[in-house]
Amino acid sequence: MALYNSHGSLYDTWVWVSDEERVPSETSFIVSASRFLETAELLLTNRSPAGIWLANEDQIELIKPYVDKLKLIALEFPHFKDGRSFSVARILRERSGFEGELRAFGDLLPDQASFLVRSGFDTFEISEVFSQESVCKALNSYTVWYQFAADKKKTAPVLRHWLA
Amino acid sequence: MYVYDTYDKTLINQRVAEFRGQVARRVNGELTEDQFKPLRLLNGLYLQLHAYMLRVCIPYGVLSSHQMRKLAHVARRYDKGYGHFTTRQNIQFNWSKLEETPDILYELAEVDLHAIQTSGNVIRNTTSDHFAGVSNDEVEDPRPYCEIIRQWSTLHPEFSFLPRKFKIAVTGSEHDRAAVKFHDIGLRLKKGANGNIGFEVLVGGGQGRTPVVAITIRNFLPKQQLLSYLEAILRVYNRHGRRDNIYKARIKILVRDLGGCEFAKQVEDEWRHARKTNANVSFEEEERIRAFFVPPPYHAIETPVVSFQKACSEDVSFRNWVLTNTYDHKIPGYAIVTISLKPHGGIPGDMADDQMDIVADLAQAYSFGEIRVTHKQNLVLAHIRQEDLFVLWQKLVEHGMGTANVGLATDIIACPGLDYCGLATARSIPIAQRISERFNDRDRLNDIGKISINISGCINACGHHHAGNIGILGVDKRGNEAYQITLGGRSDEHAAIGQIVGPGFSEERVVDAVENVVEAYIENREGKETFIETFDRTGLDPFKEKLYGTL
Repeated sequence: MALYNSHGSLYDTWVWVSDEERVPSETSFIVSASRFLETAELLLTNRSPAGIWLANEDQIELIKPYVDKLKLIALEFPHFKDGRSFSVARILRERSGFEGELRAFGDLLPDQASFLVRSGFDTFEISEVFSQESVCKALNSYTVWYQFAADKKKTAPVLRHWLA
Repeated sequence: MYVYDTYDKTLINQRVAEFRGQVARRVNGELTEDQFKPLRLLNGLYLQLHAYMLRVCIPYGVLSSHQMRKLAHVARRYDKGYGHFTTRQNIQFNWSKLEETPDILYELAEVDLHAIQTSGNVIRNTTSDHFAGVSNDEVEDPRPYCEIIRQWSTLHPEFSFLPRKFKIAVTGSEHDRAAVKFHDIGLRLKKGANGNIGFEVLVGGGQGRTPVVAITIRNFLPKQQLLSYLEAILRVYNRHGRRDNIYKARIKILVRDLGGCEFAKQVEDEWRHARKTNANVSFEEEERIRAFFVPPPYHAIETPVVSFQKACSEDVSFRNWVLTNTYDHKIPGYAIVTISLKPHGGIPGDMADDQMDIVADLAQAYSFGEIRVTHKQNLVLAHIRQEDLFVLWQKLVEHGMGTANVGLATDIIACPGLDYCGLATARSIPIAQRISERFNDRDRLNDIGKISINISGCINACGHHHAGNIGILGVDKRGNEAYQITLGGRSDEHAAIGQIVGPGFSEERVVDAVENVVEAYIENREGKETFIETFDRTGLDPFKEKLYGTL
């Protein structure tokens, strides 16, 4: 997997930690939401920042009390055609006030890059099967957007009246 | 009609460039067919039985003469010289080559046409009343709202990977010509208690294998709040709609499973948040869009129009066409003309390239250069002076488009069926052609009067058989095509789903069966009752008896 943000590829400073592994004390780590919920207070006092990944969107309600303390939330796309996490991202960003890194992972296509960014994701993981060029091209495919979204970009309906 | 500005043009040109790149990545193998499929579908490209089919979007069915000429060009240059108008007011070309589709889209973009979201699990082309802006019974013109929805739904970042396709229809009239009750979301413009205009919001209608009439979840939505409310509905659906079973993924199943009240409650909860965002368009933008739909510069015409009356009395064929194919216009001295694309024995909705050019010319000469596509697969010229009707009719007759059958037994809706479609289980087109030939008699057609016959070649119901007064569903019965008949369906404000009349009929016998149903109506009707009025009074019994003998 290669990590990208809205500008292109970047180095991943986070470490994914399985439910069986010990959490590291020196690097930022990502654990499952269920593991996090079991020992939330403890993990949040760890010296290194904690992030979680959500497999199931039902967990949103449970993690709500911790949203302002988490440094990263990763949302899974079990299949690229399953678009639920686009909505979850907007809710976390626009309603729950999550300000940390919002990450998409799973089965994603480069062609979804700008939708991810617009829905509020900061970073996303895409298989190395796809060239970096494809992802960067997809990020820059469009300069016009019609609808308001989590990235708060100025939309065409707003820009039309901007100078008037 | 709406005219694209630099924002709109930039977006569709960027879409063409993106698609060209996607085709190249499919050809060089970076994208698998599984990955490419949803991407091509988002650009209207299907793989059918014999070739790729490209479905071009005609937003809420409105076209300019200029655009129609480009469609003629595409039919001529890239296809087999014809196109097929669909029940979503779009047009499809049945013989596209994959490697040529980026060029077709490039050419279409030159006249502000595209194929964005004409397929796939996204918000599809918003449809509307084909008499919008010209009928007498309108609360307000629905087209500006269709355009607002078009823009909002185009490349929506959150709603481009929905559980299933999503269809919205808007009507501005009490009399529903847009079948809003058979849509995922139906919107009906209405006057509120304080005189303000807003929408009645209906959800969960649809056809397919589980036909459902939509229910109202909000009686009155202030029209300024339209987009935030739509966003709330779509968000509830995107999160909770089923994704495990393609046949249970439409919003109607979610509404059914949750119950209408609970679904409405979840939408309202969501909307409390959504309405606080900037989802709605500004007043200025709404006004900008509305300005494109002001009435064209009509002439003041003295009525009655003597030359028109004279032509009607002198030419019985013309008079007959006027009676069936024209409709009252809100401006005195004008008429709304429906051009039938259902010539007797022809393929419903098909149109040859030269006919497209002719209609483009006629629209330019007589109807302010505007053409509309109806969801019943016909065309409308919405602003014809009565004094021009005779010349227009002669031109249409000369080019095989003068069939006087709008709303009658041979004005059949049919899906492409097994002649083209990979999903079909039976043929639709030959059945439509044979029924059309069977009833090809002016006096008989007029005697039978208003009736809708809709044919689908499979359970997916693209031919709207559930909503036809007479519905015909083709099914595959152990290798043989068989046809099931339903009666009593209708798609207007009294929307109803047709009821199965009994065992199906073979391909040979189905046309006789339709004729028997019509005969049963003639025998049982009282006074001036239409087919559906008789059916609503009698129910299935007299029809069953006619078809299957004594009960």
